[in-house]
Amino acid sequence: MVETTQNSQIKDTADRSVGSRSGRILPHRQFIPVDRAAARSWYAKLDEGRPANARIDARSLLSSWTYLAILGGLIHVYKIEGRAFEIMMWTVLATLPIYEFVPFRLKKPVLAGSALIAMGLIYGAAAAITVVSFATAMVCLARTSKLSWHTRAGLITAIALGLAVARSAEAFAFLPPAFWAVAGTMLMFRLALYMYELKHAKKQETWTDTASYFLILPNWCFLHFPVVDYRTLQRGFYSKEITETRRRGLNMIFTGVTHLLGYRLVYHELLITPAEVVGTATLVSYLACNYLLYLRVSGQFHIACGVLHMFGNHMPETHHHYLLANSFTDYWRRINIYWKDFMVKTVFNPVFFRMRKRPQPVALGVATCAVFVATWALHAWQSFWLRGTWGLSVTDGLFWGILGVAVLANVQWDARRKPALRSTAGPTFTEQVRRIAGICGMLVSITLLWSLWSAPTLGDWLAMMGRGLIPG
Amino acid sequence: MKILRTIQARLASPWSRVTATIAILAFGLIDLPISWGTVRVLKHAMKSPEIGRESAGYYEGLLGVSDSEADALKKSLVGEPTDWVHFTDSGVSQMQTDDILLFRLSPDVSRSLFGKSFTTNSLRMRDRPVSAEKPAEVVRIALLGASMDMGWGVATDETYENRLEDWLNEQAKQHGDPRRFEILNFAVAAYSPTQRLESYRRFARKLKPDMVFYATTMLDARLSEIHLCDLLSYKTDFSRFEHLTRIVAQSDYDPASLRRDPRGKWVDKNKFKSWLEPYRDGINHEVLGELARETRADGVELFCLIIPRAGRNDLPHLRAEGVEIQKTSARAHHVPVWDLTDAFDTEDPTKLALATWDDHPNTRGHELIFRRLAESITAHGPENHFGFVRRPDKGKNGPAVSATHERTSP
Repeated sequence: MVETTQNSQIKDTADRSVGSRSGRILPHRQFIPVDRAAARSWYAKLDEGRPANARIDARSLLSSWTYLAILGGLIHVYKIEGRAFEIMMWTVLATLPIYEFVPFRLKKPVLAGSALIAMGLIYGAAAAITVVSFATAMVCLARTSKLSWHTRAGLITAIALGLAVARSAEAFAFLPPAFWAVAGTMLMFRLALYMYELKHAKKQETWTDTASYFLILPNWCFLHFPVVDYRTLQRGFYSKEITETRRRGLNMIFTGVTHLLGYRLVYHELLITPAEVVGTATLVSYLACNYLLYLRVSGQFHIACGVLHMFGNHMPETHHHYLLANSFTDYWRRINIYWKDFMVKTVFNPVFFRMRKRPQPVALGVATCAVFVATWALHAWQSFWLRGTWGLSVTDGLFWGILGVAVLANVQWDARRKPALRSTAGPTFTEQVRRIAGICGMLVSITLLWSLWSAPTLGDWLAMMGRGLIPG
Repeated sequence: MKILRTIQARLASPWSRVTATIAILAFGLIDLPISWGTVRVLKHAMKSPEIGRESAGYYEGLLGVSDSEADALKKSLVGEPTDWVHFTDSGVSQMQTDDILLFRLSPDVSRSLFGKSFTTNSLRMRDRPVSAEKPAEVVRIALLGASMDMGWGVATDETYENRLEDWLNEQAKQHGDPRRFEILNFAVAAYSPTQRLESYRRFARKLKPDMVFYATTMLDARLSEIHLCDLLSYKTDFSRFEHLTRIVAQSDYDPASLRRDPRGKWVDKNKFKSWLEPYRDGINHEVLGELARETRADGVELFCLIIPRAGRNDLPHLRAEGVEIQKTSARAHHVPVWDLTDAFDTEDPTKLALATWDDHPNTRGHELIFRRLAESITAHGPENHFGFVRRPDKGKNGPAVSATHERTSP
């Protein structure tokens, strides 16, 4: 039924103006159709497929929004991470109510739009336009059906390498300074994962899903960003009830904030420089605090993942109590889980399955080695796009080499070991002691390795260790 | 493990989380009593966004975005507004790379920087107009220093130097002292101790000062390093400065091993810094000795002022060692020291800085330095010049300084 103001005018007996008494319809009430049914059908059409998990719950939204605003206030008072982070938080707060009430099909475009606005606010219109244009061109190339997958992958690799050479040679000086890092953070790993999905997916990915994958709102303030998997992001979209997902996200953001505040305490009050190491106590202090600087990474990753949860993306956690790892494989599984998953998906599994006819220890060994070589190379790749330098050094190579060998040995040991029977009575005293010893051993090993990674040269590291272990 | 799981479960409950968040927020907002030293230090650490250290490892470098192209990116991420300029880009100075000074303020500048008036007089001082000839009944004080003393980021009338000048003249008037005080600001941003010494020799001396205030900060060793690095980089002749030539001769300086960019500037300055590291404090010590000898010969009284920076790098426990080095050096040359570094201790240092990325004191910071300096003058200023403010009936430092502060405050 089409309801018009004429009808309402007729029904309106209370309003007896001069105009209505004379039989005329008031000018301001003429011909303003209010097609509510059509509007409802328009909304319903776009809202088709809304899962039960995405039901609108204003009360839940209000409580989440209020708590997020308190967290925003805390971030402002402590000046956590600076301008870009604050812009991102205010954008999230502004977008959330709109996002909650828009039809389901518009949710991803709205989020991508707010990510674009935030990018413009943070880096300026010129940088945002340049980055988005370049990213669009790369994604179009990745999606084109006129070329085979291998040709597209080859072309993208060639363009990436060409740009790396151009950047090293200081070509393209006309580009906004933020271009390299922002385009890098957006594409350096995610484009590879997107290509992987294009190769294995049974149907073409939609533009909406693609945009929501590349335009991730918290990415603009955290250039060093967790390697979000395309399929995990899409599968996680409203995969759990929204109130629960938001609560999990708020928990992650809070945890991230506490990590960042803890990082500041370590950074400003506890950390000493390697030159200040003059005995065992100072060595232990340096090793512990130098390792704890990683709190900043875990804090940022928690917040980034938490923000994704606020928009209904139920994602895996990024870290899992990494200080409590009790073996090298356990450590690898707990720290930067997204990176581990990225490596398993793109390196470990392909190598392992190619070698599946070989004996299992050989296949495991080769796949693990491939993972660590790739990790080492891709960390240099990441450094290049974010900082402009490859950061390759002897200590860097030694860190990844030693860690790789340790994980390799651990993997072989785990593969040979018989799985322990789970006792219903909980771990025995011996098991608990063994576990605690494992945690302590891992902490010592990893802090030592971390200090090696942080040292400019092997000589510097040996000199520091010498001063720490043999004082005087 | 069970305990950990219990704690985790407790913290995961929404109300515990909200309570903890509000508690942390309140901790950040509440002004803690000065007696809570350690807690205040921890709070400053939690609120301080400064990245003051060298990169410590892969992630610090990655997250700090500390290399080339980083400036613009950092501005976007950390928050420097686009109209924020560095001193060298602000158009208020002129380069002179063949001169030991390397750069000087331009004369008669009148412009707005960060919304504040930045003016220089015809004698290239960041100061009010002054005559080259010294008038009768005028006591002149030459201020030698760097950016803090020049008043980077505050208006010309808001610098601690001009506030002090106003206060001294007001006090002299109130006490019927016929003399007038002129503080001549020879401070220039980034001037190292050697450049300050040269400023005295070439400019301050000509204006016949009665006193010299030599302002120093915890940053001086770093400024000496930058200055010497630039002198070598520009191949400026500094053979007249024996303390510099001697240090270069003593260090392992090897220009052939330093790479240069297409503009001729060194790419790997860190190598040079490591050569210079053992000698940095020595430069400052020798400069102060030279200045003490020359001012004595000129019959000018020299005072060393230790000025605080507005950031957590100058918190009491962090600055203690540096302040002691400066004091020891001054004592060795028989130069009176006025340590003003506690001027900011009662306030939140982050509120006194120009911005989160810039630890120059803001208007309030300059006011606090002025107050502390006025107190030092009242308590320890030489009788022949400042006797009038030391009279017991008039010299109750607090009210006198406060009264002037109210008058001169914007």
